[in-house]
Amino acid sequence: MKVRRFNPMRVLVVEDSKHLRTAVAKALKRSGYAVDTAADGEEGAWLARESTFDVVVLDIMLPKKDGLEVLDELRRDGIETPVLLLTARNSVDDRVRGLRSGADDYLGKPFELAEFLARVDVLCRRRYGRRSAVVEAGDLRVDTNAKVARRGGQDLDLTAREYALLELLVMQPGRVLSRTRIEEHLYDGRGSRVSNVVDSTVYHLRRKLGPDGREIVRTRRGQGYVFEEARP
Amino acid sequence: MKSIRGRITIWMLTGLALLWLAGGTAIYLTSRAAMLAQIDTEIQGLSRQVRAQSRGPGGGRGRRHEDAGPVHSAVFPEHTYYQVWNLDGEVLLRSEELGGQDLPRLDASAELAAFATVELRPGTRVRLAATHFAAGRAGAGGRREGRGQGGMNEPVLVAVARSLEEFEAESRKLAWGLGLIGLLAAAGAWLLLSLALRHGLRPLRQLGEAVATVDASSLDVRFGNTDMPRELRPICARLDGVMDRLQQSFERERRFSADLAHELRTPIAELQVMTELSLKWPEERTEQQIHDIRGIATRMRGVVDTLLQLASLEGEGTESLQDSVVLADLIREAWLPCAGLAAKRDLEVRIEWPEDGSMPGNPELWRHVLGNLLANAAEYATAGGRIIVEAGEHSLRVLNTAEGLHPDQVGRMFERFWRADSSRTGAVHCGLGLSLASACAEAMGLHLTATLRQGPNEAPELVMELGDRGA
Repeated sequence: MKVRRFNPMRVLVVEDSKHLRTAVAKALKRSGYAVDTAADGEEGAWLARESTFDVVVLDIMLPKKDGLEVLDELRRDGIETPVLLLTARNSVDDRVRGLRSGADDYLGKPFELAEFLARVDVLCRRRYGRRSAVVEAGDLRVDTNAKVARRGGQDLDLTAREYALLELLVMQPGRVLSRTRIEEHLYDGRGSRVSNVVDSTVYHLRRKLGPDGREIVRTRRGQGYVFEEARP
Repeated sequence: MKSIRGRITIWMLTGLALLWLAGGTAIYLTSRAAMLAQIDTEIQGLSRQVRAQSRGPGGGRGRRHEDAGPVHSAVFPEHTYYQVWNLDGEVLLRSEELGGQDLPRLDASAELAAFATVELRPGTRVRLAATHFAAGRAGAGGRREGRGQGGMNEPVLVAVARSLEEFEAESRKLAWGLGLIGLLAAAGAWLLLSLALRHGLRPLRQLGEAVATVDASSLDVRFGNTDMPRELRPICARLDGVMDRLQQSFERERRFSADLAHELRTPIAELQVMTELSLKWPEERTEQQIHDIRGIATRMRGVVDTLLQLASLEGEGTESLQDSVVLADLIREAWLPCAGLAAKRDLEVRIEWPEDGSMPGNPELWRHVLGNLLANAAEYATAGGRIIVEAGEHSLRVLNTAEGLHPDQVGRMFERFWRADSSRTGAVHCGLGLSLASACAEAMGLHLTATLRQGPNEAPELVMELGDRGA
């Protein structure tokens, strides 16, 4: 069963043009991403440090601090979040300079929205070492493009949030994700948070995964949750 | 001949050749004259010997030449001839080698021998000396022939001639020798000159090679350095000046291209994303979005219109734009849209332009200039500061408080798309206003300048002054 797009990935958009910032954020949200925005380089740098993002979309010509300066600072501080540079400067020199500064991708303005969303998607997958849109773990199959999860050949009937949680977990198998981390991915920076939504979502997800749901989505007390490979 | 090396070589070699020719000729002629003088001395000596020998034992009065024996051949070298006449012209003695031919008889005085070069026979040139010997005079010793000496004591004319064949051969050898040395010297000079030119012109060649490598990516190259020869330093200084201007110009063009790209691409990107959003998710469509799209299109049109206007002004001459324009009403008209913003920003405004004050130009262009200058002042003057419009000496001035403006920014204010905030944030101004004002000023034969000065209370003030180009 297809679910409404709800991408657990969190994206920061740093762009000074209000119209573009708003439109891009809207498009990302409609694609299921949790989105935060910043209108200048200083705010963008601060947000990128303070929160965990899966992708940063960064304009170059920004007020207060330009995009390349922000990128440079993030890399020096050891922040390896994938960065997509978005800019009107489209010459080869500018592209090379941007990529050499530590950007992971470069998209010139104007751009096709579909291409932009696809590039963001690729960067998100790459963040978790995934080249394919389909993640398989045992007999569990998660198609991150179609936003569909199947187990044993059967579609899992998941809500948007349950799917988002499952996708977040299967992208990082064996890695403990804290409740806070999960919350950040399920909500963008300005969304309201319900205190036990993570526990509730985990509970429902386990039930839908099957009798061994607790074995697949394990609890690590005091730490968070971890995804273990589903056995047939 | 367009080669410095070639020209110098030709001039030098020609000069050297001419000098050698002159010198060689002088040497040749001098040597010939010396050789000839030596021959003259020799044949003159032979003349005395002829005279002495011709007297012989018992020789003297009444002795005829057929009685006189030949002059001893040991005295005379080969190809040398002699002949003796008395004053009546009677031949007294003649060498057998002449074969009965007479030597030319030259006029010689008792004091001075006569010399001449004559052609004895076809192809035989001789040097002839004629010496007059007085009676009783003997050889060089000057002893008077007396009784008992015998011989011819009458005054006689003795002519001695010597073949110049050897002399000519020696002269030819000399000429050839000089010619050969000249050629060798020329070859040596050419070689030395080539080396000297090669070495001497090397800095010029290196400068040319360095200039040839300059392209758009290497405009930071400079040519002046202390190793440069003195003669090239002024050229290098000029080249460096040209490179500075070229680099600045390229940098301006690069900035302009980047800024233009941003000014046009960003609104296009905005339009594209907003319309794609609306098409992909129609439920996101709002009326505000439509207004925003229209606003973006309007802004783009403004940028394009301004750029086209700038392009047309650059090609405009000033002849048709030199009417006298009374500015008071235009100033008020231009200030009207800015008044609200100025009040909001708490700016003190004084318009001190005289009512009848006029400036050359064109009303339409003045509107553009005043509109941009006053809008700029209202937007960017320090909040709480002041704006003044006043008359200068044959100029109009707009000044405003400008804290935070750096002197190095002032020089770039009239560049297209320049803004103090390099991010280009904001939908109102794209950085073409002052460019347009400047272009309008130039089209009217005026010049717009910007300077930063200290205003009252030490606050920096930006002064925009529009006056004559020559002022």
